[in-house]
Amino acid sequence: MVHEEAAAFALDALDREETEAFEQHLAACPDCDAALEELRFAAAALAFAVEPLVPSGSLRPRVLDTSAQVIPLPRRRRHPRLLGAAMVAAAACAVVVAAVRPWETADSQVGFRRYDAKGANATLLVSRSGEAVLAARNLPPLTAGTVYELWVIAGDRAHPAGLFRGPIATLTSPVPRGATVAVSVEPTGGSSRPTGPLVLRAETT
Amino acid sequence: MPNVTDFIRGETQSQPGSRRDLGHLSDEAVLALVSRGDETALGEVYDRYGRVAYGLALRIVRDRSLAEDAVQEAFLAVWRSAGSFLAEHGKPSTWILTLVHRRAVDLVRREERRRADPIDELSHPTGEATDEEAWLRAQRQVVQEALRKLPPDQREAIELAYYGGFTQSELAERLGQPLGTIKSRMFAGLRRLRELLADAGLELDAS
Repeated sequence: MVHEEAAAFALDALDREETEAFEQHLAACPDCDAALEELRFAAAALAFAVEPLVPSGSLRPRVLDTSAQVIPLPRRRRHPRLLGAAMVAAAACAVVVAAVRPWETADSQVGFRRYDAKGANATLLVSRSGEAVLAARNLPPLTAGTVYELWVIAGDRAHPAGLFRGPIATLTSPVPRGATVAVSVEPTGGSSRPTGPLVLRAETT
Repeated sequence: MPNVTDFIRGETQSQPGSRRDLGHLSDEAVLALVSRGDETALGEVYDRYGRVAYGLALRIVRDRSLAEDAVQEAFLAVWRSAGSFLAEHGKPSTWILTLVHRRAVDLVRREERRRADPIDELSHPTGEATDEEAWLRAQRQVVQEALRKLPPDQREAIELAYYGGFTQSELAERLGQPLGTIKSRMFAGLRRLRELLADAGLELDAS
């Protein structure tokens, strides 16, 4: 039996808790899982009822530049071969836990948490393992002899996490949950602790 | 009648800067290249779906900058997860637009920016999409026509959810109906929409 909530799920009309609950339900309900593809097709077709629009020319390079700094996840096999039955079962359990679920939101399906920054138009993406990428726009322009420096602030300590000048930066230090990521303007070559003005601050949870 | 993938492919021109022409490849083949870290292939996906994605995102978030953020994040997800997606044998256009929709809805809920104008009354903020092929407009008309054939209460629930970003609970409150009624309307409406689209020749790919 297909549950009616599958349509709300396909339309993204569930809140976060309902979505998580329905995803768990999906794993145990082959009928809903099977019906979802058709419901999703109908939902996605609604996108084509809207007039396509040309985004600004800067979006294409933004998309490609951001991706260039992120390594695609390896393809996961649903059914590992060349393993004994017990190992297959064990591996299947591990896959359920670790699997990338490509239909989920950009946040959860790539294991990213997403945070907006204060002080600048910026987005921080943090993976489950703490790897982080910052995409910042409208930072104050750098003057000669200066550079942006990233900081991971945990407790009362600020760890340097790399220097950058462009709109995208990959942090060189992991970002633990609850840490704050900040950006300051520092002399070229960077500093061992923040000395210049903080231009951006993103708190993780 | 061409399906969705065909008409996207047909109206796509190679962008300057593409190192080679991938236009002859299926969506699945391009995503296979993406899953191996081929940035040109990601550019090809963007060229095929970027405009539909942006039009959708802008319809939902009503802000160009937010719409671009939604598209950027969705394509980052495409880049990261194309391999996993291919293993599931889904339909690429559905997957990509699902990611775009999710990001846009997430953003609009966070910003509390959403509105709920019916799609027919939407004024388009730019006139840039003037080079659409006639059949692209025709395809849009197919979906709009199918929407018009839905019972009004089903259509209303679906449009408010999909284009307005409302949750089912918000819809129940907004429309003054029990939650179960809203669920039933969306379910019956989406199923009926699927049938109407199939009747009109808009079909799932075999791949």
